[in-house]
Amino acid sequence: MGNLFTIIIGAIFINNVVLARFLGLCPFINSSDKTDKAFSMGAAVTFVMTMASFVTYLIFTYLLKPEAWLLVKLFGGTKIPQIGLQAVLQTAVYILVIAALVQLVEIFMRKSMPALYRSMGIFLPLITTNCVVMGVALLNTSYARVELSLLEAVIQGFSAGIGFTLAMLLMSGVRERIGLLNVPEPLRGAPIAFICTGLMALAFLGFAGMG
Amino acid sequence: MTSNEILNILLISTASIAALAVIFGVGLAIASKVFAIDTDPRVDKILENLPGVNCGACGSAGCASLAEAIVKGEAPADACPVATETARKIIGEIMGAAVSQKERRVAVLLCNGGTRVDSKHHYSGVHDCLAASLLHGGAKQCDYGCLGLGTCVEACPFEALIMGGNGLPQVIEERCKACAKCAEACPKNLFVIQPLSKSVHVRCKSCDKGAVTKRNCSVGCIGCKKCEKECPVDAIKVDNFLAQIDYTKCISCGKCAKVCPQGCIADFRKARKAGVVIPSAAVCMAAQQPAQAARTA
Repeated sequence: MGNLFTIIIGAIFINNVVLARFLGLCPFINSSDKTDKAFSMGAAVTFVMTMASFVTYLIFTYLLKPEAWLLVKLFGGTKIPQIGLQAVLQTAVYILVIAALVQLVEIFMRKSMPALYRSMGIFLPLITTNCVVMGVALLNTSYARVELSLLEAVIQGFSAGIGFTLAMLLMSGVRERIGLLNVPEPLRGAPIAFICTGLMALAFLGFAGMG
Repeated sequence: MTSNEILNILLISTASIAALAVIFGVGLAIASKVFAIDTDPRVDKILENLPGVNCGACGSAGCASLAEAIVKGEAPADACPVATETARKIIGEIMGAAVSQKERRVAVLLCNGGTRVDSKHHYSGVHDCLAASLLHGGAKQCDYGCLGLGTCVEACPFEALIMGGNGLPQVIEERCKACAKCAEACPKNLFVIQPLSKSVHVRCKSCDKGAVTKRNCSVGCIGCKKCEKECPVDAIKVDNFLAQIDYTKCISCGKCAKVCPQGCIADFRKARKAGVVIPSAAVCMAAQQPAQAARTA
């Protein structure tokens, strides 16, 4: 239990995907100008990330990594299980998984929440190429410092999504206020948003400490 | 690694990607069947003929939802007040419904003050009429007139409003689609949407007593009732020290405009015929620059 708690706090605050790892800045800047848009984007990314963590973890453990169960079953005598398919296949398979999941979310949203679907526009399919989803899938599997269990991987994916949503909501609050200010012309829009992101990242550094 | 093993890895990689692709493909196919939505082909056709600016003047959330409402029969085929006559006809044909001919309407600003009205305090807050009007009803001496901060200009989805050099927004009637976004945005309620043929308007909303209005503004209505006496059809009435036109009765003869001592009744008939109410693009640009400079300063 304590372990899971550490993972949740770590993924949301200490290693916040946007503010500490600098992943997913494109949707972060683009969808954070209104609070409701930011929230729906965060929710969609969280969903895709949780599902992607689950599926990619299973694929990694049973198909890709050295001595994976499926590899041993199929090619027991050869050298292939020792090498594993990780180096060859990981990126391609993960992208395939994420793209399929985004498609699923899109089909689901078009049916059940058409208004939200229209307001998200192009940013929904763009989650496919959002590095934050890929990043979390990699951090759960081959880049993990210690080997995670399935539950831990899913929890980490979900909390990273919550961290992303948190950063989006904080930013949208800031930007809704910036909208009322007289920002110097060259800094309007994305530039001032990036400056704010930098300041927020500095604040989040406090969670990690200065070790 | 021998070449044989490399070949094996290649084969396995291809096979596993293909297997995953098939699994996901089938999964998505099932999902799209389960979550299938029946769309009427007419919705897309109507949507093509709507302006696509999502202004909301029809009362729907946007063009797409209006198209759906038209197909469902929840909205009439000519519900879009912004669409051109031809587009409306095409939509009528798609729906098989007769479309009424509507006269083109435009927005008219009912204030002539602008820079002619002095400030009562210096306002340096958010550059927005609504915000400014919260502070003692705005910085103008006249509590009813235009504040000139251009909130309507920003609200207009058709760029049919520009800030004139006289501190008043100007309607470019050529571009105006009568969506009434400006009327919604204006905290002083200074816009009316009227047909082009209604060319006489009292360009003042001041309900102050005559003497007060006269002190504040050189072109405000002082309620002298000269127009009321002159009107041949009883369409103009002075109420609360302000002349108001009943547009259902008004025949746009322009007699009231001639007798008005303050010059606050405007007759656009000649100007509309000659097309000079619509400032040319060059004038618009020139007029916009000082307003923008004032905002950034």
